[in-house]
Amino acid sequence: MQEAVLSKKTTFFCGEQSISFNTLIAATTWLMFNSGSWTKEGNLVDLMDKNQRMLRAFSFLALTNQVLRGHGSALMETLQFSRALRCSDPRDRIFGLLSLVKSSPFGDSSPTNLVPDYTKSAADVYCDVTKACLSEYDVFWKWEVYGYEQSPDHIIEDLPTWIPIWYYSDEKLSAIRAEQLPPRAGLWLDENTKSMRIDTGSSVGRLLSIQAMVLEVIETRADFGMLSTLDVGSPYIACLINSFLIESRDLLSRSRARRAKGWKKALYSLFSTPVKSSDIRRLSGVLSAGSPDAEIFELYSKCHELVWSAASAQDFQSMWAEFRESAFDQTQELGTRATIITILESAIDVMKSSSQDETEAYPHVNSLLPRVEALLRFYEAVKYCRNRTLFMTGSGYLGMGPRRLQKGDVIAVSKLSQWPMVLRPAYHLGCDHYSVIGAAYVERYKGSGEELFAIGAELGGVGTIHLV
Amino acid sequence: MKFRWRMLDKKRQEIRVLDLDAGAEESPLSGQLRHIFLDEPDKACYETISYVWGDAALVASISLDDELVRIPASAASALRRMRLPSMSRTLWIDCICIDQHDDDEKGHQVGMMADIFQNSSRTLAHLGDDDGGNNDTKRAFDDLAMIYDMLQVENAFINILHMIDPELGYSLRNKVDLEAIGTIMGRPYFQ
Repeated sequence: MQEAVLSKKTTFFCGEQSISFNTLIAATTWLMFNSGSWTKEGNLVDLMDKNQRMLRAFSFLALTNQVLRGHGSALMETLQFSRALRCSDPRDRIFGLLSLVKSSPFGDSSPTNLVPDYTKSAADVYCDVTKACLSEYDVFWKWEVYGYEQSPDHIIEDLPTWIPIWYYSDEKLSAIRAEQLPPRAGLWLDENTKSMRIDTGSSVGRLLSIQAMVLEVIETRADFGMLSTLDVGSPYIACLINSFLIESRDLLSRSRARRAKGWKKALYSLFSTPVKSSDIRRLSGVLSAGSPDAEIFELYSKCHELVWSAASAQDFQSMWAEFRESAFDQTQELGTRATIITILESAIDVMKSSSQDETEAYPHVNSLLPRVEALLRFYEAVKYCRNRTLFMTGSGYLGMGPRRLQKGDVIAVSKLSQWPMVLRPAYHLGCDHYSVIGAAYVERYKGSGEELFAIGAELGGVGTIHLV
Repeated sequence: MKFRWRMLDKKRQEIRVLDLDAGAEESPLSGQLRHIFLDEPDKACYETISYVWGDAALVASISLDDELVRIPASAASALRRMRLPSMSRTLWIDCICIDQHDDDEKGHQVGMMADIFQNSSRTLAHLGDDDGGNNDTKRAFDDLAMIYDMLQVENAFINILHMIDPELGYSLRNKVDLEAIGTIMGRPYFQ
């Protein structure tokens, strides 16, 4: 099958029928990630689990799609896609993918010095791959996404913390799969009226309607300062827009201009020096657990959970009452918390009064659109909040970072990644040595170089550090 | 007399292509081998065939310069599918264009595979014959084409489109037959 990828133009024939390569890869890739509730049999991922051969075929085509999109690094795209793949030896994945990349139309630009060599340790192999990516690509755009947090089912010993491992843990993978279904499952079409309805009889439908309401209320009260981190102006919608729009643009225009050579060269020289070094601007410290924002987020996710777990409308009502009581109990003095509870309550009231009939139809399809958009944003927000925590820096910047960050960690912006990084001092190795905890969103930091310098100057401290 | 493959010039990226004679559906396969050089792109005009060898016990034959040559049955069915009714077609297919008895040549030509496919004007990938249920294949390909068309509209908001345009959502939800697509994707070709 791999030779089909090499050709300028490929057509698949089966019996009398035929289909072009482009159609096949674009459509199967879309199916792989979006089949959700739009197909008769439901989830494609479940179907693929039952049929390994099909899984391989879909994976290969999706992989090919990534490669053909040509972001500038076939290797990096391929590695990124491979996060869901499983193998017993971490080196197998890299070596296997290398051969795939080499046989791709972009194989010419793949690093030639990377060859399967099982005498090397896994850590060395991953370091080599990272170097190759950096020499080919300008910056770790989606550094957070590539995965750098070791997971118990995939341990690479002695791996520097800043080297991505391109791996989804089992836990993360099942979370991703579970996420494929919910957003749309509660909607159905009424054939008589030709309008979309929310099936409030299902827990998903209830969640949808409640969240749509919550979101509306929240949007009208957006000036509550603390809530701004969860509203649409936050990193989550930025991520949403990025991923979705980039995807579509790339599908339409395959060949994307490569990035400036200067950047690339600068990075390469940076990484050909023996010690990995990078400019940073340091924030003075990090607060995580115990900050009011973290609590708000906890509260919010608790509501989310509650709606999901309720088996029936009555069940939900009683659970909600209980929850409300306990939440208010601790939050009398915390104005913001009380505000959220009130917002949720009023949303539920709206829902109750407006839909006595459990499956009341939305009267106009047009009126559904803003809700649907809001819902999609909300789901993205929830997704991006998972396993992340809100924090505040010593100098008052709000942000969101990996859940495992702790007080005393440091935020740094560097050329290495688009997003600020959370670093943990490794003083035992020497001053200015840090291990990488993850990527962070910092409010007001938008990722442009100039702004980066402005913030850096304001926060104090521009210097060179060593990542370990 | 046994068919003899003429030697290839390794220094000049020489390959053989098959000029497959025109023929009706079930008529025997016949054709002639011709040598071309990949470093002369103007003269090297051919289409490549991609297929799976399949069960080695199943063989068929093609007549080359009036000599019968044994080829895998899957290759024969691919050639039949691609054969034109009224004119010859220039193809590259590994089991015929590479002398399978010459290991030295085989090694060299396999190393050139990437070039051979890249230089071809088109690759014809044969997933196999239809086992009777032509409707399923047609359905799967139609579904994929429909998805592709919609992706051209605007991938980013496709989910929203489904929701605001009930017809679209309805048709997708009821039309896409994953089982049929799965059957296609489960074919040995995709292994």
